[in-house]
Amino acid sequence: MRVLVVDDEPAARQRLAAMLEELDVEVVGEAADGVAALAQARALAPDVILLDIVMPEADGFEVVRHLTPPKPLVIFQTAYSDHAIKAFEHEALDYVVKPVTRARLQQAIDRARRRLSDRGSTEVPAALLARVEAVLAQSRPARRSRVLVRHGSGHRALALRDVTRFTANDGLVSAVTSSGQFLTDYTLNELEARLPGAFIRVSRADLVQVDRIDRVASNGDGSATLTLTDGDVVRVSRRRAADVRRSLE
Amino acid sequence: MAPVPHDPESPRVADVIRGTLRQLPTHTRRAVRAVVLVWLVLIVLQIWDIRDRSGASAAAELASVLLGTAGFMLLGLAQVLRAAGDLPTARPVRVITERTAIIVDAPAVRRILMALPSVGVAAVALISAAIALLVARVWLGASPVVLLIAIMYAAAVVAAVVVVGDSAKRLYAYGQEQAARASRMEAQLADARLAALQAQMNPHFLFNALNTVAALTRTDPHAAETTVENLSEVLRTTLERSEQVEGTLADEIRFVSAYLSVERQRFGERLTVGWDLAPETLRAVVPAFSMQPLVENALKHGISPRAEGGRLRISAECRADRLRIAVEDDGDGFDARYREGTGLGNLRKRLEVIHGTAANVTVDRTALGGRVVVDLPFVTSGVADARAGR
Repeated sequence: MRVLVVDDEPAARQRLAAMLEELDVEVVGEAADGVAALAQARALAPDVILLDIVMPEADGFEVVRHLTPPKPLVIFQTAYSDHAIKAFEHEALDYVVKPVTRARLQQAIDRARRRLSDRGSTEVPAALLARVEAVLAQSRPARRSRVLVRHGSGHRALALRDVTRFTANDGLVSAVTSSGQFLTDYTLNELEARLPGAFIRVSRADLVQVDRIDRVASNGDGSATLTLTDGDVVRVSRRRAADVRRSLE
Repeated sequence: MAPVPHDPESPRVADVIRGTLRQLPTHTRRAVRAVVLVWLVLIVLQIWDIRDRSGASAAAELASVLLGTAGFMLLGLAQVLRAAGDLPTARPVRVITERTAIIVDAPAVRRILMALPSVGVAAVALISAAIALLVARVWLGASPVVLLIAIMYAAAVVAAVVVVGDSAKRLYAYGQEQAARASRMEAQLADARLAALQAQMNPHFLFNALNTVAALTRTDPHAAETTVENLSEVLRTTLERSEQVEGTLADEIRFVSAYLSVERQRFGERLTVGWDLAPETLRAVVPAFSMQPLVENALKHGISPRAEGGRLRISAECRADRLRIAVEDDGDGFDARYREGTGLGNLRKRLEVIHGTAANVTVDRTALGGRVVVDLPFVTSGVADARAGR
C-alpha cells in the first residue's frame, strides 16, 4: 500500500513516515501544504493520503475537493475533535487525532487495506465532506484568505483580497483579478458557502467582493448595475438587488 | 471601598440645580410662580396682621413669618432636587482594579439623592414650627385670617412630606440599582476572565504542541525538552494568573514569549518575530492575557495560510498618557473585518468593562499585511495600586 503524508510540520511528517514504515506501509511522498499535496497526489497516484486539515495554501477539505482520479483514500489528521466527528467514523472518510498513536494509526491503515481490497469506491461523497467540514468549523471557524485556482495542469492558491469577483460562464467559474482571470473548479454556490461575508452573490453569474463595489445604479425594471473599482460593470438580478443594497449600507 | 477620585468632568450640585431650573417645563414654571404668589400673599397678610399687635403674639407672628419663609425656600429646593434626580444617571462606570473595588462614577447625582431627604425633612420641620407659632398666636388673640394661613401652611407641610417620602424611595431604588450594577459588572468580568482562560487552554494549541513534542522526541530530543519547558511555562502562568484581572506589560511579554517559543517549534523557519518595546511601557498595567490574542490572531490569519510563512512585529510605546500595543504581520489575511476571532472579541469586552470607552482595539491592514492595535490609558502599577486604595 502506497501512502502520501501531508503535514506542515517537518518533524511531524518524519514521525508519521517512521510510524508508517514500522507498519509495513510504503511512504511514497510527503507534502507540507495543500497545493503541494495536490501536485504530489497527481504525480504519485498514492492509494492513501494521510492529510492534515489546517495547512498553508489550501486546507484539507479543499485538497479532497480537488483530488483527481484515480482518487486515493483519505485519512484526515485533526488536532482536536469533539464527539460529533466520531459519527463519521464508519463512513468513506477516516480520521486520526493528533498526536497520532501507533494503535489508532494501525487501525486506520488496516481499515484502508480492507477498503482497497474490496475495490470499492474511494470517492468521498461531497455531502459527507460538507457535513464533516461544518462539524469541525463549529469548534474552529475557518476564515479563508485564499482560493484554489487552476494553474497549468495543477492548482495554485490565489489571495482572495486580489479577487474582484467570481464569474460563471458556460458552467466554468473563474476568479477575476487585476492580473487576469483564473479558472477554478468550484461552483459559485460552493464559493458563496465557503467564503466569508466579504463576497456577495449579485446574480446567478456573479459573486462580487463587497469592498470592490464602486457604485450601484438602479435600472428601471428592479434590477441594478454595479460599477466595480476596476471599471467592470456587473448586472444585479432583480431577486438580489435588495440584498446587495442592504450589504452596502 | 476605595476613595472616589476627583473627576473634573463631574458637575457640581449647584450646576445641576441651575440646569434643572432652566430645563423645567413651562407648566411647572407656571405652577411655581403661582405657589410663590400665594406664599407672598400669605406673608404680606401675616405682616399686615402683626402691625397692631405687640408682646408675645407679635413675636409669635414674626417668628412664624421667618420660619415659614425659610421652610418654603427649602421646600422649593427639595422640589428642584427631586427634578434633578430624574436627570440621566448613565455616566461612565469604571472598575478600578480587582474584584470589589468598583466605583460608580455619578457623584453629583449621588450627592443630590443623599441631600434630598434632609432638605425635605428640614422644610417640614420649619413649616410645622411656623404653624405651631401661628396656632399659639390664635390662642393668644383670635384671628380667623391667621387660622386660614395656618391651614395653607399645613397644605405645604403635606407637600413637603410627599417630597421626603418620594426621595427616600428613590434613594433606596438608587442604592439597589448600584448594587445590582456592581454585581452585574463582577459577573461580566468573571465571564470574560473565564473566556480568556479557555482561550489560553485552547485545545488546538495544546494538542498541536503535544503533537510537536511527540515528533521532536524522535528527531530532536533537545528541542522536545525545550518545548515541554515552554509549554509548562504557558500552562503554569495561565493557572497562576487565572484570578487576575490586570497585570504589567512585562508579565504579558514573558507569557507571550513562552507561547511563541512553542509555536515557533511548530512553524519552524516559516516564522520570524521582531520585538520593539519602549522600556517605560514594561511597567504599564494591562488586562491579563491581553497580548496573546493579538499574537494568536496574527499567526492564524497572517502567517499560517502561507507556505512561505512570514514575520511578526510586536511593539509597545507610550505617547502622552496613552499606551499603544501593536502586533503586525506581513501575511495576506485579505480583509481586516473578517479577521476578528473570539480572542479579540473577548479582549474588547474586558477592556470595555475596565476602561469604558477610553480603550479600543482596531484591526486593519497595512501595506505589508495585517495589524491589530490596542490603545488604552497608560497606567503604571504604582498608580493602579493607589487608585485601588492599597
